[in-house]
Amino acid sequence: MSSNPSASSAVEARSGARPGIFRRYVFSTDHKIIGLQYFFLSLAAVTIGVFLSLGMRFHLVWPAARLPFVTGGIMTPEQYLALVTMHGTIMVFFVLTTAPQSAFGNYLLPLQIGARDMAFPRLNMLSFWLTLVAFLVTLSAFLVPGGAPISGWTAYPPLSGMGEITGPGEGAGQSLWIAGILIFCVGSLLGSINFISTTIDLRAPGMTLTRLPLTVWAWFVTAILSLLAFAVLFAGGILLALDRVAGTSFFLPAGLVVSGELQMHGGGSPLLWQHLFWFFGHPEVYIAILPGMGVVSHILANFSRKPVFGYRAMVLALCAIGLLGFLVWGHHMFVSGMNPYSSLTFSILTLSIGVPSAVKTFNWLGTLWGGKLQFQTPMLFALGFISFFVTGGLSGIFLAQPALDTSLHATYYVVAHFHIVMGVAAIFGIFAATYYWFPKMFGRKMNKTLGQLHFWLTFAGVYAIFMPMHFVGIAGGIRRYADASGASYLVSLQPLHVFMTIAAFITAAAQLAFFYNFFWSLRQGEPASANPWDATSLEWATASPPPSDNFAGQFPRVYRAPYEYSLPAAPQDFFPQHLPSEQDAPSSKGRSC
Amino acid sequence: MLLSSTNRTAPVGAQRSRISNRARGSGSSPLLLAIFLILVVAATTFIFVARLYPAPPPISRDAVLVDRQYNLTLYVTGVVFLLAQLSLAYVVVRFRDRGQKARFVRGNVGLEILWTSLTLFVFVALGVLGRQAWADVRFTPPASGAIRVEGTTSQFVYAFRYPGKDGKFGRLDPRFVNAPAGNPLGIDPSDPAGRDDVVVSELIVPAERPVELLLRSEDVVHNFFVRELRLQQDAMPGLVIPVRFTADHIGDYEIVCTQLCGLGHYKMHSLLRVVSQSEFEAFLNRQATAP
Amino acid sequence: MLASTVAESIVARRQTAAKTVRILSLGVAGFAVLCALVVVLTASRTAAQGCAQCYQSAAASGVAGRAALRHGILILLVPAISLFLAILSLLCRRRNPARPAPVGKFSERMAGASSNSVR
Repeated sequence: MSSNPSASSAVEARSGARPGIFRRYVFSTDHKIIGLQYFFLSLAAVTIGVFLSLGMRFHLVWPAARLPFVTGGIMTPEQYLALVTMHGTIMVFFVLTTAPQSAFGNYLLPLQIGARDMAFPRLNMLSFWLTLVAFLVTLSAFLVPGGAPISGWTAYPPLSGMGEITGPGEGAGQSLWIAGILIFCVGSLLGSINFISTTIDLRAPGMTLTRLPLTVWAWFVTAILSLLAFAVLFAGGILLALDRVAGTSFFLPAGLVVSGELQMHGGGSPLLWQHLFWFFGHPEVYIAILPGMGVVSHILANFSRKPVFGYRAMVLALCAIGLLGFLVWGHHMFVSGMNPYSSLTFSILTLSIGVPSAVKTFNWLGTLWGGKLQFQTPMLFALGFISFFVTGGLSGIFLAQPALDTSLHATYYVVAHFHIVMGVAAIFGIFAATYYWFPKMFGRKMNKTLGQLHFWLTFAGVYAIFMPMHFVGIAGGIRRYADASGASYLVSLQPLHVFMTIAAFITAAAQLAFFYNFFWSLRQGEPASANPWDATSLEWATASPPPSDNFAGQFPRVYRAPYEYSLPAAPQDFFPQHLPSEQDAPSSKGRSC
Repeated sequence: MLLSSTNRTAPVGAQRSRISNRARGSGSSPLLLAIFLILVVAATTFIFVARLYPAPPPISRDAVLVDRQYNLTLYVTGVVFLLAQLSLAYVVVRFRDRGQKARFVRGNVGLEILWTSLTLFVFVALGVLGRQAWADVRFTPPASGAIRVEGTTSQFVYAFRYPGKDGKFGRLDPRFVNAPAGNPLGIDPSDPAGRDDVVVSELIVPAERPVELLLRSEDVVHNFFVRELRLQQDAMPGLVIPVRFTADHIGDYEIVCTQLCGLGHYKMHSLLRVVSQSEFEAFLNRQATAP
Repeated sequence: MLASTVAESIVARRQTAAKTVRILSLGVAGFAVLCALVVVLTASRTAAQGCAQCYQSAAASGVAGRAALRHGILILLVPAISLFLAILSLLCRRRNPARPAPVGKFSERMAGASSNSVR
């Protein structure tokens, strides 16, 4: 990072002095620095999250073993559940919501639309710091008496709504968890406002809607989802906190007897929490995956040397997934006691989301078809994304039907499904984006051999971990169980668990190739030019890394669609968006929305 | 600084790809990827076809209907899975960079309409076909003569209550809950209907008789799941949720709790014992005469 | 003359964009109706007797409780869907970014991104 952030140029203009390290790299309003701050936050989060999951997998197979980081040596069931809760929370919020949208979106959105910065740079900085504070507050749940909460990332009341009497970790731990999530919601809301305003108002001249890279479309739709979904989570979290500390009973019915003690609540409904939570929770998973879809489209076009097949269909599919994503939350509640008629409506709507998702998959295949495929590391991860998205999406077809969900709900089948779509496909989107934009962000390329090694080990590894998990679920293996000593049939599934645990450890170890590659390349990577991938979008029109105002005063004007690769009449291989040409290729006349 | 064309002899805007020949086709990657995808498809198909880890056999007619829908969905999604992964494998090998020029195609509206409507039709059809299995269980009121049992869940045990000879459940009041004193459900002692109620920790039902199970919870959200019945229902505090089933095969089947309910969640389980009619009556009589 | 044809094409494009948004919203509404129809028309015979589960649940938690949850679903859905479509149509209405940035202290910093661009 060699350039002054935009905040410093303003300060310089006023005082004539160069701002210190703090202003440039810590309290910076430069979207690029903020994007990197989010990135490193989610890198720390994913490390912790993976570590927690390894603890879980180890305990499932060797429950009596003494473990180094566990208080008391041998992990207790409540400690296991604390790991389950915090693993889910950290991964969903601080990795899958943060990296694709807040990290890459913040860094690249202004660049890709030809702007100097986001619409509200100071608000942007505030969003990051709120997210960091949220992360620390959430993590601190591990450190209080009772430990982290045991109610899962879903925190259903009454288990989460009455304090320590329902279980260890439900006292201070759960309160800190709620506080962390509430702070995260605010940071997310402020960030969404920034994304939406920036995309609507700060596009460079000529950047009409059909010239937007699909990444920009994805970040835009994701920002709308984020705005609306996190608002509801925020409200729900406040209500839950009130139930816990202010004696209200939003989620607590009358007549509850916990450990022999009658509780003095009344009038509330635990189902209300589920509705509020999943009204957020389902759009949340689309928040996690949509940016990855945009990244995959972007990368596929680049390394197939072809435009994205069906650009308009892709945009419509993004919008449809976003919109439909709000209508399906009930599929998490088929067995909850919700009205069974509602279940059927939610089921049909859920199955319908499969349609735009399938359309996107067909269009990706169409992009590859007839292309000139180059298998750089970002391309490998993008292809892996497609494979996992297909697998994970198809297992969703079973879960979308209430008659079938009745046997699969809360089994390992569900865990397999959401891990493959979120824990693998979305992560592959993050990896693809990292390998792809690393040269732009740091001016150096990552090592290709290490990148390929990382890909192969991870691709094989995660299939080895999560494919067997489906079978555990079909046979009746129940999730969030600390071990197999309960119902007697569970023991027969242990061989599968052993296999998955070994695969998990190997795959986690393989990530060291990524870490080593990343940090080594920061200093020693091969220097990268402005456009090492011969790409067309605007971020490649400026230096690597970009100057503080992104384009050194010469803001681009946009003349072309975003993926003009291999135009037929021209001998040249690609047309960057910001360069006009005397001879327009036959079908490249910009058609605007 | 904005970059202009690096190749001065070409028209403004033209760019030649500078990705080196070495990177072209990237060696073994496409073939390896294709082989791997084929392996994944083959392994998955084998495990499903060989039924290596199946669900246990169904023991009721409703469960058989569910299995039929499951198999239909498996065939459809299996075919799609196969086609999609193998297409990906084919495409990465067939179109790897061997020096060819990519075919410039923006899209194909006809194809889009075709595959969108096909997908919509297949998915909605699956959903509509699956409706029957759900409706039969959830929309059907209990048959007359159904045996009524109340299931109460609490951290971390199941308690099943039968109404006894009078056929009526005694009134419950949480103020009377006192497990050590032998009244875990809080049956109101002033209600005569409750005096003959039978409370046990296992669910005992006669075969081939409809059963209506009224699920409730004393503290947090729990769940009742019997794999062989293909039946699962959360027990929601504040609600009494009826589920109905008719078990056709005598045997013992495990009941597990699938809704995270606290530290003992993994240990919360019971037994559904499907017995003959005579054994069921004997059980009720035993309970009636017990102190 | 160039300005007027540009203005005309802008107006034409605006009308197309507004039409697109209208079609999208109609599509979503129509689809939701279709879903409801599918559910209703394929109703099984015994559904006419009503859902026993619903009656039991209503008895246990109170009719007001169930009505409240039904209202709740609408309260969640209607603002969210409306806002989603509103923001999308806002994007469509501002789809041509060639207009100069508004004048003002804050926007002067941003003005470099549009009207001052050198090319």
